[in-house]
Amino acid sequence: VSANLTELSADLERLGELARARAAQLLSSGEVRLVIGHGPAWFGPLGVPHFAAQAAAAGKFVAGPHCVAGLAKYVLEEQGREGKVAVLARGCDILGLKRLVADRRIDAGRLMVLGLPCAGAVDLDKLAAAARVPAAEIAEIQLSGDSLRLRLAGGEGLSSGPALEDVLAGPCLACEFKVPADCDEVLGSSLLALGAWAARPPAKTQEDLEADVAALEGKAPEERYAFWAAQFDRCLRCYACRNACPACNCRVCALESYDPKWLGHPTDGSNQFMFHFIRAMDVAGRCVACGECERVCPVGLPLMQLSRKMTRDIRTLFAIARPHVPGELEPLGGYRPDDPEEFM
Amino acid sequence: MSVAEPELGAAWRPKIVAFCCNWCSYAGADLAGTSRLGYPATVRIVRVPCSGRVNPRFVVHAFQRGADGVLVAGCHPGECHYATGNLYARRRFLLARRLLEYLGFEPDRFWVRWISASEGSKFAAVVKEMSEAVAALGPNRKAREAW
Repeated sequence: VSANLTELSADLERLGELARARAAQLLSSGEVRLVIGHGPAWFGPLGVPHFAAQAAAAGKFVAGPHCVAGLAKYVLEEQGREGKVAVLARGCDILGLKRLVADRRIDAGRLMVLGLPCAGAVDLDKLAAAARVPAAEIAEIQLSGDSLRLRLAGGEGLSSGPALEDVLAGPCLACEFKVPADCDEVLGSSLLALGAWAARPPAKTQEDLEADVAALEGKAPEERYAFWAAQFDRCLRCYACRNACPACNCRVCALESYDPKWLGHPTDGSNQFMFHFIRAMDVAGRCVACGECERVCPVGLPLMQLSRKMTRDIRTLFAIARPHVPGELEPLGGYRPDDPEEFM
Repeated sequence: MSVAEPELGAAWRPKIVAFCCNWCSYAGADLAGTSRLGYPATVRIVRVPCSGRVNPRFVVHAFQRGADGVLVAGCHPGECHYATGNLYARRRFLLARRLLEYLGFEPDRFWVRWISASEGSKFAAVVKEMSEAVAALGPNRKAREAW
């Protein structure tokens, strides 16, 4: 694999070309009315979700490790209009889209999934720490081979940065879906370096990521409560975690319901606890482990540490090997007569 | 019920909110009463159609409003009036219970028990046992509304 890693960045460029060409073709033939993917950065270094409704706009699609945002949830906004929507989807986007289809929130017949092999996405904070610069100073991220090159704000040239592998976002480390599957089309299957990179087994398992859950479980109740109370105290209740989450897709959201009024407006400890309890419980068994909640959180709450707890318990209690992969029977949407019994 | 409410100014005693299903546990509580079985007057019963009706948010809401312990009681698995409501509830509360513990609640704050209509003595015993366990923990302050 290492022999052709120099080709990785070139392959991602080619993948962008393939995406642009296919999107333009689909839009000009009228087969789809909209293509959703990643476009170039407007501000900061990260690619921004791009929506192309005309073939001319398809020229902006890009692929690369600076494209971090999840795309699945945007499709929800497009429901109720005629015509198909295509998504240039990485593995995590595909899981999110499957979640929305399984929840019958989007119509699979009006969705076209264009699967992209994925090299993983950067975690901007990890990158900033590795490059020893403030995250806000990073103006541009480029890939060269399998290493990153950075341009800092106000600067001209690119300086060499860390290896991509060292600054991948947490969920990417355990991603088993870098090679797209279960989609209408796969783009870039002939890109050998990218294919080989994507086909490598993940660096970590979901169980490895759960080490923080196990550590917290080992503490005393008072310590656990103090830990979460301090976290929830920082929560702004902006609901960005809900908005970004493909599993948080109810038509009527409990957080905004007045009757019943589940949640009070004040951000005191009691309401913050209720909010996070509701969120954790409601996405339990439906979380796809994409990590969007945690990524979009403006105050950096460890929200996945809640989701991973639920996933871990579902796996051990109900013998569901991969609870984050949408299946036919949701863990809490069914039962088995021989489920564990501890309530006798 | 068998024991009077505590007098004002009396020593603290736990408040336990019990969600009892109409078909088994509520009838079990009724049987405990008609059989003149004594049990602590710490429990406030909320009758629900089925343990499957109990949203885990109810549990947190009870804690917010001052409960020191919460009990969810339903028919034994296989005996649900609606055939499967308690089987859904079992999965839900296996998880909710662990989540509450993870968030810092003591395990004894929240109990789930299967109590049939003929188990008046089990209802009395569960309430007694739970009252003692919650009393040992003291008043609940976690997730509680400012008061």
